[in-house]
Amino acid sequence: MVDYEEIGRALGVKSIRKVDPYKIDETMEVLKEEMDKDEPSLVLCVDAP
Amino acid sequence: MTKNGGNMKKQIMQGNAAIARAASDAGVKVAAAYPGTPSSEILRDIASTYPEVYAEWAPNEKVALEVVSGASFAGARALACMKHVGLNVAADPLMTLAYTGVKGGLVILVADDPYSHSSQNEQDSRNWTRFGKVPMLEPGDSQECYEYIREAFGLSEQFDTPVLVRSETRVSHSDTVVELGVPLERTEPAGLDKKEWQKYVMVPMNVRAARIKVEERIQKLEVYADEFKYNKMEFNDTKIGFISSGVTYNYTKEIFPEWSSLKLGMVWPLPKKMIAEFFGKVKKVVIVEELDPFFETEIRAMGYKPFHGKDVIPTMYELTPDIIEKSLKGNEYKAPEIRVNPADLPRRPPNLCVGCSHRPLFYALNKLEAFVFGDIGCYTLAAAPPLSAIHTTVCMGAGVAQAHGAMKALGKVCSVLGDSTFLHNGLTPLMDIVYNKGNATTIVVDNRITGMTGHPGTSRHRFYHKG
Repeated sequence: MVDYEEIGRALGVKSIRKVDPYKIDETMEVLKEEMDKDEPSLVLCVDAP
Repeated sequence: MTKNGGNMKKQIMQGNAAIARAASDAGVKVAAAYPGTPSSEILRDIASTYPEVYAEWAPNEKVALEVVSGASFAGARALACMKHVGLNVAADPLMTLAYTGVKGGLVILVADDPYSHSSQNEQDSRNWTRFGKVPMLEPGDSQECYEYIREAFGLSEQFDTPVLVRSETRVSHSDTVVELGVPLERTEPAGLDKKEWQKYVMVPMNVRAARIKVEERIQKLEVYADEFKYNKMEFNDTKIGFISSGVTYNYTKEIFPEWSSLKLGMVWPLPKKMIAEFFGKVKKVVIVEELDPFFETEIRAMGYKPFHGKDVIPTMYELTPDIIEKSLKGNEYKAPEIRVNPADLPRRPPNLCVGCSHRPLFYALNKLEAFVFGDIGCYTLAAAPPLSAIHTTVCMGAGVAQAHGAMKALGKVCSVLGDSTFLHNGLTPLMDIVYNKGNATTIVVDNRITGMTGHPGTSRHRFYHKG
């Protein structure tokens, strides 16, 4: 089983967020936050987290 | 499940199903692929129907070809399948496997997509065969898919070379009658042998020796091409004759059954004596080929002057019997009566599935007015209105690195790619972003499946077809 969070961490990404895209408001908040950060970020959109 | 159609000798099969059956009947032990239209059904069929063949979805085409080449080095027959753009990814091992050669027969099936029904570009894979210095066969219907694949394994072992077999949308996805042959008696692989290291270790010293072997092999294959049973000449009315291959042969034959023909089952190397004989006996030779002027360039370089070729036959998109007829008959062409103009019909482009979790994500990105570097997969469909939230698409994994490059040039941006694409080629660009201090946001959309190609599994979910 490949774990994307673990992969991101192993590659050195510090900011890793998991979102349920069906929760649109929450997803928009997370995207806004991550896109404003001055560092690499990884957002994992999983439909059944 | 049992073998498709059980042991019935004659049956109707899809081209891809015939390829799968041929792999089994040729004694293939290991098959690997990355899904891609129009090649995806081959591995699915092998996995679901022929339990004697080990089959796996690899994370990308390069890995698929490397996996099967390992099996070949161990002496087993092995098959890799991919679409045309997949061979770009697998080109690195291909170019050197031409030097190492094989032990067990190694066949690479590449399926082209003229007119780009489901691809990011339109490529003529015949160009790999000259570039890679390996032979290529091209079947034109399911019967030929079955026979050519079986033949390709024999050729591979006889000439110690990987063999490319080119299919395309209409060949892979059409159903025609196939008369099956007798399956090969399965044998144990010959095994690995350390003493053969000079054959398989491609360091400069061995490369230079192998380079001679590659050149000699292509010369031997050129001689063999003149005796190859699937290169066929047919002399009817010798005023006009056409040179063609694959499904294009069928189209031309349908329109001009009275002409003579030279059908090239092996598209490279070309049968020089046969071509000389054809030009000797036929007054006007027309070269009919889809996409690039591959045969025409070579045949003109041999000193022959075709009557027609790419001066009238289109150099892009699919050919059809109609297009060939129109190209060659010119003003004499009578178009069939059209009752409904296709332009008047409502357009129904493919859409993201109803309820798919990609939809709300792209809705959110649209509301945020983000510029999104996209990638290859069903989520590319979010480029269309009303979502309008994918703004680039180049190749597998490209979006991640492109967002990084754009950020270095301009400022922070984001990219979106699917989970299968992330594993295919998305890890290295993400590593690049971290290492080179970028700040791009990489968004992985995981709907738990490789959606676009009929839901084969990804490594993340272990939906392996075997095990």
